[in-house]
Amino acid sequence: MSRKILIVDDDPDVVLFLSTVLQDHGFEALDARNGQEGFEKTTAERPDLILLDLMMPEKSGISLLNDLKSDEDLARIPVIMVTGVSGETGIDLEHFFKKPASGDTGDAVPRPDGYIEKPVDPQRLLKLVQELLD
Amino acid sequence: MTSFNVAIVGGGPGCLALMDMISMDRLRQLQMNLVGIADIDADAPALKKAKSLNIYTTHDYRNLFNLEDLNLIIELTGNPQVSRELQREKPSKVQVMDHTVARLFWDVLRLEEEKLKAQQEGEERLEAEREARRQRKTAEGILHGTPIPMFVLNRDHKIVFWNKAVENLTGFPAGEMIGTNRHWEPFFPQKRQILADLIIDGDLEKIRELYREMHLRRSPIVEGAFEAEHYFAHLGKNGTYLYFNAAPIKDDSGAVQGAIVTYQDFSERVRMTEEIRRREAFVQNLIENSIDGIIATDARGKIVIFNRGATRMLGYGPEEILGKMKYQEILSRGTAKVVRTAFYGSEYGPPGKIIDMEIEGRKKDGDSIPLRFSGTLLYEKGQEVGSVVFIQDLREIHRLQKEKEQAQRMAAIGRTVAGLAHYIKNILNGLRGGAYVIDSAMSKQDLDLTKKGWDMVERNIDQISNIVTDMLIYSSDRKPRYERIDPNEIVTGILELMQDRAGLSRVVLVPELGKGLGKVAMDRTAVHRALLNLVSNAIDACTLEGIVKGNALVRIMTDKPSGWGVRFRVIDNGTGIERETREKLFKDFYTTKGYKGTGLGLPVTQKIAKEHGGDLSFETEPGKGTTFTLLLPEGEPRSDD
Repeated sequence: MSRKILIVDDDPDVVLFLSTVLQDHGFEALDARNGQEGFEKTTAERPDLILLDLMMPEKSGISLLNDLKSDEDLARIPVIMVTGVSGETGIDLEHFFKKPASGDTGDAVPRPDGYIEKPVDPQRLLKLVQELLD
Repeated sequence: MTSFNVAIVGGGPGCLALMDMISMDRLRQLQMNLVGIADIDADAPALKKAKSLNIYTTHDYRNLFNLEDLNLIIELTGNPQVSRELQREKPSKVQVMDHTVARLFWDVLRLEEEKLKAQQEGEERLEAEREARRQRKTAEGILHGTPIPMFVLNRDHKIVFWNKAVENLTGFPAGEMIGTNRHWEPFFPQKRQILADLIIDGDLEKIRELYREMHLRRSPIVEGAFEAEHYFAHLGKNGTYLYFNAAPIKDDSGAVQGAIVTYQDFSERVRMTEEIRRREAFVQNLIENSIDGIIATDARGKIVIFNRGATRMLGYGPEEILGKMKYQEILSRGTAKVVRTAFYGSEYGPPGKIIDMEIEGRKKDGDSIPLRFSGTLLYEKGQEVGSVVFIQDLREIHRLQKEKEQAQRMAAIGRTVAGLAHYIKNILNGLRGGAYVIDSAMSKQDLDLTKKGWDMVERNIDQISNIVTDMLIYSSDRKPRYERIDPNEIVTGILELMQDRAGLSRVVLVPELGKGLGKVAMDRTAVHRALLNLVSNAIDACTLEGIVKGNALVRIMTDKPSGWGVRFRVIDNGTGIERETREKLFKDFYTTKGYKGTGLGLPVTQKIAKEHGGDLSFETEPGKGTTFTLLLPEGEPRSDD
């Protein structure tokens, strides 16, 4: 049975592109348009992996990530953060996400399991997905 | 003192003298009343006098005894017999003074009188002296207190008088100066003879030599006195300009006994004159270097000011204009008449003024030049004494204005280039993604997916087209290409175009089109663009934060308020606009949409409204929604070029 991947992004173009890439490589692609829908679909469909857009309306990617990682059942689902922001905001996301998540420092922000920047390179994405699913 | 009634017996010369004494002022203090006189001789001189004074007279002294309240009888007959009889016969309360006692009394009185007289004369003399001294004091006091600085030298060139005002002028107190010959010290850096010294010495030659340079002249009022004026650099903080007068003081024989010097400080006047000159130069400078042309005329209409700005605009040099030409000769005859009418009328400001009138001027070479003309007639005591006008080259103003606007837009575009780069990058990602999808679909022979991929490519091409259109509209200086269009036609076009996108975002577009609007002159492409921006914004407002409420609605209304050709209203029930965002909405390239917005939409829409002579406004309530209103005028606006 093919692995299920949930794409959470408000941009229909991104959803179409990513789902085409994933379907072409034997994955089943689901999509959600915002954080709220993303959480609902995760609960209902139990995907094997989640591609999560950082900048999203309603419920931001970070907020959904937080919800997922604090849920006992859902926390084990690997999440890849898809970001288009590092260029605009000047935030060093790579450094941010690569820092080990450590509860003892009081740092409440959860870490995604991987991250990839827009524009998404299909080969890099597939490699990252494979690594996290293995 | 009670009054004392006296009667005299014997009316001879002694009695007369006594009568005079009694009536004298000084003895009047005694309150002695002469109440009767007796003499056996009816022709006695005192009897006659007494009668004339209405004093009782009698031939028999015994009759005197009956006078009421008689206190004293003075016997002046010199007859001892009468004296004895009186002593014997008089009533007991009446005293008698016989002629011997009276004589003694008389002498004492005379002596006393002499003494008094002498005393009185002495007092008068003393009083006169005191008065003279007082007057001298007063005169000195006046001279001391006068605001005119003055001092007096005696024959030996010593200072004998140095008043308060000269103390103030020089800063040298009288106490230090009186009795010395230091009078030169306040005025000159080293010792020298001053005008007063030379007048005392009578050295006319030296006076001329030393004071020639100081406007020396003889006093027209005081003989032998001289006047001069000079700037004393040594005196006061910034030097002092003094007018001074030195006059000889002569005694009765005409010999010079000293000299008096008075001063008048006219530094303030000199400074004021300088200040006025400086201000005049400043104003002159201002007029000459003003970018505006400034022209002024005198009462006869001759031009008396023609500055560089005017020369630059009209080509005449001041030398061929000033005092020679009138307005009529540099404006065309027709224009001069129009200006004249405008001055006296109230179409361009109150009578006597013209504010921002646009006229056609004529240059020296005959070319015409559009000018902005402002001016005012000058009055003095109700009399017209000239005029001043300010002219600006309208071509220059228009050019500068356009350059400024262009520069502002270019600067704005410069600011947004970074944002645009991301925006375009985003579109490119979309295109690349679309290409990938189509590729994939073709290899799978998936027609449906091909269609989806192709739509994606098309959407992104549209976005490029939009941004390019926006940038062109925003950055270029374009005039609307007017055609008469039914406003509803444009709305319908936009509905068709945006339906898909709205559907994807689950926003419902509701047209509410006014009936019978008629055709309105507008630039089709521009107005289409403006409305597209507004509707696109409205959809974003409903979805920006993903809050798609129960019914996300965007209503597009058209109607025709009076005075306008058409009103478009785009009403959403989206997020509304926060206060801090409102202020930046039109001002700058500003976007709340991250890399999905260019910040061009509203500036472009506003520019389109402006180019049409229309208006763009909005009302908003955060959380409730926003209404944008675009008003377009009825006809084509009058071209101002």
